[in-house]
Amino acid sequence: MSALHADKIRAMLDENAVTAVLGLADGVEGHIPRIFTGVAEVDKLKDGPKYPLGKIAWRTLRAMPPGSRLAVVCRTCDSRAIREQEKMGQFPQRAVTCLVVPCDTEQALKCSCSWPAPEQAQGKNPVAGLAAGIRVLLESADRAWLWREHMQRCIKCYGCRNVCPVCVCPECRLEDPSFVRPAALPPSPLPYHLLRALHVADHCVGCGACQDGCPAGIPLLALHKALSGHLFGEAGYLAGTDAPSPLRRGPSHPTGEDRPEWKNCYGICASKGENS
Amino acid sequence: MNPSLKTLVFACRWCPLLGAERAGRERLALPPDFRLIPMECAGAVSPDLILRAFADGAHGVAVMGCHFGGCRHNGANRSAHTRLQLLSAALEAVGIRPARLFVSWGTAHEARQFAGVLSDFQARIRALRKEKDLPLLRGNFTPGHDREMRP
Repeated sequence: MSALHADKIRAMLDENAVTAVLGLADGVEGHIPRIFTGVAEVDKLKDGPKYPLGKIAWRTLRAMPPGSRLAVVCRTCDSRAIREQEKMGQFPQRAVTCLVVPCDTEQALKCSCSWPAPEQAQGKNPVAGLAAGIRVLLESADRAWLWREHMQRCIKCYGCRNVCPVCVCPECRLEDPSFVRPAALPPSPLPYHLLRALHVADHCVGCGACQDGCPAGIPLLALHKALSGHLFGEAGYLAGTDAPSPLRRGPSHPTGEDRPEWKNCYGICASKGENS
Repeated sequence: MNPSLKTLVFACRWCPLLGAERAGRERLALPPDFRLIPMECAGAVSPDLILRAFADGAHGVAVMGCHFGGCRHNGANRSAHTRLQLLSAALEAVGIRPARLFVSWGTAHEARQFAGVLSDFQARIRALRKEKDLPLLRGNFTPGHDREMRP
């Protein structure tokens, strides 16, 4: 545990700025995620190996009473995923504070990460960091064969969905029998893998938790990187930044059409003392 | 005889559906093996439906809507276009030819235009007949079966 983070966490717990801290600690075998609430326990916190904490942070905060605040000691990818959850309105603004542990070069290479430390951020295409072995899955002429061989191994455990930090719908289309046929193994790749990838495409931060969690070893990160690369190329959008998703239209996504001004609202809004 | 080329058309009811109905009334030569699903707006066509159509046996899927700026639903066809571009990138990534997905905005509201656009699209899919891209990733495949087909 870096001294800087440890001091910060002690101070935050002392001042009651956060209710709890989520981080890694030594388990019986390797590292396990753990929630710390006391200042004395902070010594047990570990920087640890890379561990998918994004979904755990989401679950933890939802299980805590309203108004709780959580600090998470995590990697850059998880901090970006938590930013995406915040953008999706999963919890109030600034309910989660991320204390980022930057990844070293070796880990960044392993994850094909284009954003391993918080500061070396914007302007990098997510596809740029892909290793040649993964790139072949997106560029070879008979890649449908490669994908077929990988996707035939799928055992439909839903691990990729469950571990994904930005996959937070209350109802999942992957459980809809009209899209994914129950008891059919392996599942049809189009309405299973592609559908899942498309649903999280604009929130995917490329953390690789789906791929690391897959017991069949399907290279799902390549698919996600391809989609993130597309959004970056078309709209300059990177998930985890404050930019709005190009797939969602809101006030910040103008349609180019003139809207009438509802100044008076025919007296409806004016009666409530509102002007717009 | 040509083998069947199953084509599914999602047509917005404000433009291309008018063209399609008129093409039928005028008895224009239309390909025999397409099915058309009328939609209120092309923006209601989610990429999930298109993936399902491909998995269930369609050789090509067309989405037709109004021209940009002419949408009756607050420019929903622009959002649809963004989503379908992403879908096309996803198909491309796993090796399915994106040409199997046809997206057209405001080009099919007259009977002849509809017939022309649809025949062109079917010609495009027919050109892909030898490609093994789609059957590879279609539903209910059994492990190992037809693996010897690999070039």
